[in-house]
Amino acid sequence: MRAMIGEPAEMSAGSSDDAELAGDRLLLAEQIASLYPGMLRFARTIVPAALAEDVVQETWIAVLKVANTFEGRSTLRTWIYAVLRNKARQALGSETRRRTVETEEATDEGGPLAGRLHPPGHPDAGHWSVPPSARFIPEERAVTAELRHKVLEALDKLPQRQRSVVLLRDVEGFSAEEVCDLLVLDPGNQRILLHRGRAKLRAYIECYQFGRGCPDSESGSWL
Amino acid sequence: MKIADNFDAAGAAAIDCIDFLPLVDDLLEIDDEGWDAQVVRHLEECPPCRIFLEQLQDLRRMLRAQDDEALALSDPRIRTLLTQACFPRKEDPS
Repeated sequence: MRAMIGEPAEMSAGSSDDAELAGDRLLLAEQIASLYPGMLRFARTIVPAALAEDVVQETWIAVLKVANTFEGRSTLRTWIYAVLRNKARQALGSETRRRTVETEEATDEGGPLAGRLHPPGHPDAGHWSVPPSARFIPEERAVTAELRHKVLEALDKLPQRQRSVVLLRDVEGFSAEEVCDLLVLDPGNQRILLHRGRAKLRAYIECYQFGRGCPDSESGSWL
Repeated sequence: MKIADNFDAAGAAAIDCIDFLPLVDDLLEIDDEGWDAQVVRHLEECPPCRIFLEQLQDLRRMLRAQDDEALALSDPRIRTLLTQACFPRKEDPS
């Protein structure tokens, strides 16, 4: 991240080398290009899609202005995502900025695995009654565009906080600790949100691909 | 079922599917060499739980397989941002 961070303007102000300047511009362009799609996905978990582009642009403008204040206490990407989170919350307005402490209930009754295991008292209690049938991607096979599209479609339908956690952990590859910092979650809540989000996505794809474990008509969808 | 059936060679109590399922998220994070012996034993003996774990591994593979890896460098959004960046300017020789 030399173009933004390692070499702030004042440090290289004496340089008059056009090639170096062009190199810095190219490096910065590459950094923006690589981070932009993920930032857009994250912004969409906080603000309506119509606002997300503006939020990402505003984030980059802010980041470029203050890049030389980055102290390296987190990774650069985590720092940029934290700026993005703040910009997105500002864009939502003061009503939703007011933070309420939400906790995810530990109970998971009625989730996608309800009824899939034998109940207590049954001779096979503790084991599957409706087991999963097969893996989604047979070994050595590539991920098909159709399945990936379905998964991303399902991800978009998850409740907001589950979507944010699954997106940051499983799509963007942030660690649990980074996600807790970014979303201001305690580790237990992060864990529950991730578990529930993944469980719903798994059930959705299982129903789509194998017709198994589908929700009954009353509950409609796992998402 | 004999009582001994519920214990592995090291004497640890065997786990059932209900015990196993909450562990799956953690198993995704660590290399299978680091898995607890009870977990390994359960997976050997319980194909449905193994498939369940594989489904979650596949799910994560699908989520990670993003095809919009980067914007084109010529994208107008990048050009706009580059105009905002503070690059050092050539000093005026005068």
